[in-house]
Amino acid sequence: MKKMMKSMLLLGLSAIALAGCGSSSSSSSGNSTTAAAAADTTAATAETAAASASFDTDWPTGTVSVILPYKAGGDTDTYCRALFKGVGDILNQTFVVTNEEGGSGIVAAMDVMNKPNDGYTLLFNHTGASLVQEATGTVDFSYTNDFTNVCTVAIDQTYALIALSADGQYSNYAHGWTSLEDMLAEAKENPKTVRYSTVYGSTTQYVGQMLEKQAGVEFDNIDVGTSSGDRMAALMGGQVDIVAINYMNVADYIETGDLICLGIMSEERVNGIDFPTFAEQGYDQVVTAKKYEVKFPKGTDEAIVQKLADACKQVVESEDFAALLATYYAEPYWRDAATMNEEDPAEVEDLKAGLAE
Amino acid sequence: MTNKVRDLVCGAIMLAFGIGMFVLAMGIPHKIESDVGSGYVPKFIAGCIIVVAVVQLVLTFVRKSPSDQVKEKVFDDAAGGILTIVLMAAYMMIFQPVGFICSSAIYLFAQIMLLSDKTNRNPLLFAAVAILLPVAVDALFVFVIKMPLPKGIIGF
Amino acid sequence: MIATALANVFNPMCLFLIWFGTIIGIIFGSIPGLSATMAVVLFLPLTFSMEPTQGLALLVGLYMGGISGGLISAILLKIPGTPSSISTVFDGGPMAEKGEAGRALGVGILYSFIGSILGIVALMFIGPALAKVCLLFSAADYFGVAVFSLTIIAALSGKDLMKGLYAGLIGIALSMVGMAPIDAVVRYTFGNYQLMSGFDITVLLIGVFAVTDIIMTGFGRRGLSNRLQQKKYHLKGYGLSVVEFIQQLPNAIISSVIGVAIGILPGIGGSTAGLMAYTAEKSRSKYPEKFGTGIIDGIIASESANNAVIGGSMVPLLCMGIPGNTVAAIFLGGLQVHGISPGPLIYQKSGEYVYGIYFALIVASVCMLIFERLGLPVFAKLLDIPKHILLPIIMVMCCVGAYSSNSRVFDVQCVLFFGLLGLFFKYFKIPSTPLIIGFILGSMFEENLRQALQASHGNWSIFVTRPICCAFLIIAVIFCFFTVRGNMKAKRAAEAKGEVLDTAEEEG
Repeated sequence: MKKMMKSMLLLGLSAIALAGCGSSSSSSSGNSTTAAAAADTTAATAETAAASASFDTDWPTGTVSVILPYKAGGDTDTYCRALFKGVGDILNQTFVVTNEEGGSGIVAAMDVMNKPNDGYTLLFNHTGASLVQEATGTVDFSYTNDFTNVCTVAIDQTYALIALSADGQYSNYAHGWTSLEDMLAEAKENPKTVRYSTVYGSTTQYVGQMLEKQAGVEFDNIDVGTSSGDRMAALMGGQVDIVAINYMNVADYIETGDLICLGIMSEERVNGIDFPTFAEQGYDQVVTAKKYEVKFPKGTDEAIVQKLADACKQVVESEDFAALLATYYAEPYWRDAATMNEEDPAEVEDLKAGLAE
Repeated sequence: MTNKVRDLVCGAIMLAFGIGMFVLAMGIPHKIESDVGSGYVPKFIAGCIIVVAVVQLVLTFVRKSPSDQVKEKVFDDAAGGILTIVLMAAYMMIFQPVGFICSSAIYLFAQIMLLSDKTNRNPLLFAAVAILLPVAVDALFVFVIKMPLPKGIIGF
Repeated sequence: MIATALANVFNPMCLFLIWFGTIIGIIFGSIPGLSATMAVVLFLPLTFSMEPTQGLALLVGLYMGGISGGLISAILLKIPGTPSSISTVFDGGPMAEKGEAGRALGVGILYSFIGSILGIVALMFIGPALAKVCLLFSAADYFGVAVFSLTIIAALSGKDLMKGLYAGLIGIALSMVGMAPIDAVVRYTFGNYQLMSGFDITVLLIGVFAVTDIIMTGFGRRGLSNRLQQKKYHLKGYGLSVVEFIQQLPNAIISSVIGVAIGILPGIGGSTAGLMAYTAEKSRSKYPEKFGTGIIDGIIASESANNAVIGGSMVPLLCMGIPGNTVAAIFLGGLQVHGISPGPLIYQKSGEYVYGIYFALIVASVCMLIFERLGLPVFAKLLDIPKHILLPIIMVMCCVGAYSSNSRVFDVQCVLFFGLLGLFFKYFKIPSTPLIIGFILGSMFEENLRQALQASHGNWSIFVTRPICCAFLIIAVIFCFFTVRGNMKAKRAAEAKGEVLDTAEEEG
């Protein structure tokens, strides 16, 4: 009985996969070139909602399902819901956001890959997870090649390196550092003693290794959990010495003087965060950003992609969206599909190089 | 099956499970040098299962208890149980393709019919329950908590 | 600040939202397959556009109602409506069978309330001090806690320890499916990508309890109509006298303290709190043999503990921004959306909302107490629905619940798989509660063991040199020794009297 169920399940799955492949090969032939061309026209004309009517599609005629590989209430969830609330208003259709956590987002991504490419299922995720997974080989598919990119809507580059302050309420575990140089000096003197909270196969591991390489130091890389809560508790409980974490999680602790920020891993200074970047301190490779992307299953109709991208662009340019992102120190950030198709694979290569020992 | 035979069979199955789990754990790659690896705890747990199974088999084998010869009849109606399992399996197979409302209505009706007997069979009432409940649940999910259940080929 | 909070909470809209949230929460909690977590997740997006206090009040109501509502199906159907109420089944089920369903519900509701209030009091008055306790725990210490919690398996295995161990070990084995902690290695997925995220606790719970129960009913369908429910209820007040109330006071307080403590420590959760309080009360009691036969002590321990977890889990969340369980993690999002960042400055920066949450919690627990008591006759009517109609309906609700936890049909299919596993357990007389305990604690056990060994560079002495860990391990060993000795004695005594060796499940 179970065997039968399993085989039928497999049959069904392969049928879906086949159907997906079949239609993708038929429509994806001139995908990237037309995307670029169409993107130009979009930029020129698509300022108003009326413009979207000019695209040759009546999509969406029904509810669109947005698969989000993160838990409800997190930052990504908030951006996603705000974005698709706006998009839904513009396109006059309901976009239902479904949280599908677990399996580091890979299950959600594969689910979307296996859905029909009719424009009624899409994926919202960020490069901080997806591209790193691709670079480390955790996934055997590509987030760029095996999906149809729609657009990028936001960027978060507030990854910060945090240590305990010598005069805060957790000072009993502090090393007395006041700057990045203090910490690196100690790390150089005593290799493999400064404990860095790493998360294998993630951005955290990547930036840690980049800093080790560029500063010529070696940390004691230990895992104290993946959630920001666990890692903060480990820092304040003296189980690790430095933690790379989103600034928002520690902003209040820095204000009270319990924690100190050794540097921000952004290319330039971020609005509202008055700490030097790593680049300013001479470590220009310690840079990372989370870019929030919208993707369709591979081979989705060009007209649908354009119509959605156009609607997203209007939301991204709105003040409400910017104000919401600002609560998390993130910013609206627009990239069209063509740019994503170029930049994302390049970033994967950079990550691969950085993560190599 | 007597209690003793049943316990022996149980031990044997668990032993096989433990060995299988252990063998699979051997193939789990070890990725981080400073970590014991993802195969470590599975091997440990599989080892525990094997040890417990062996101990249980030995204890059962040498045990002399009055209950050993007792034959218990757990399932007095095999057909009812197997049909229930078949119905559930069918329900879950058609849950997505046929959609929540239709598949649930069919399942509900069939399952209620199966569990009822001559004294309390009332197909009209059963059909009403089978149709109204899924419709109400679907409405709750779609309109109140905005989370669509599978729609299926018929579209509702 | 407190005045603002009072005004915010005690306005009609906010009170309505708490009332509404509590009722919806109770419905979610009482239906097997729909849990408190799910209620909070599903309603969270609605709160984004609300005024902060009102949004949080709704979430608070949902959480409170959801945790408490589980006792209804636990007692009436012997199916835990939510993972937290597993231990309520042990004594609640037998009480209902004896015709004391009303009393069981009344007591459960009252002590849910008492547990909640004690939890809230702990949160309000010693929260900031307690919050730092969780910083004292490192991976090695959590490992100690996990091992200690796993010893509950020994206590719940009844007279056949081996079978209990089987169940616990299989539970741990099931928790290993999917991506491993730390290095994200994919294991035991047999090529099915859906298994990468592992199994969901709700899916396992409804499979093993509800679906197995329905299949068993199928096997025993003949004469289902003759076995009409005899469970009538008659109840005055909450079903216990002043004398009983005073007698049970230590039980309620100890259980609540256990609940608060477990709520504060991240990653353990309400189900373990209930089980631990139940076990503690049983070993403390003068009549441990009566536990599981339908006495109020068991219900009181379980319900005060799992509701005290609510207050406990808010402690590290509000004071440090560290969520103690899944619901608290979702709450964190609900706070951040409104620009409230939990942490050292929350009292200065967003004090009115913190007090708002406190008052909302209190109002929600009062709502729960009143609504559940008023609704009791209605709940009891559940038993009047003939089983041949009720059980298939439960099955459909289980499938809906399994589907909605992750929007995957795969989870629905897993429900049947676990139903069959439960059937296998029933046939071989293996108890199923240890399976759930093993599953819940399995990942905690593994992750912390590996993290501790990584931090100590592979040195096992860390488990002895960390005082907290060492203490828990020693208690675990002592507890195991006495439990096993007690079980052996009971077994020998039974055999000496020539009684049939009973390997049936403790929880019936």
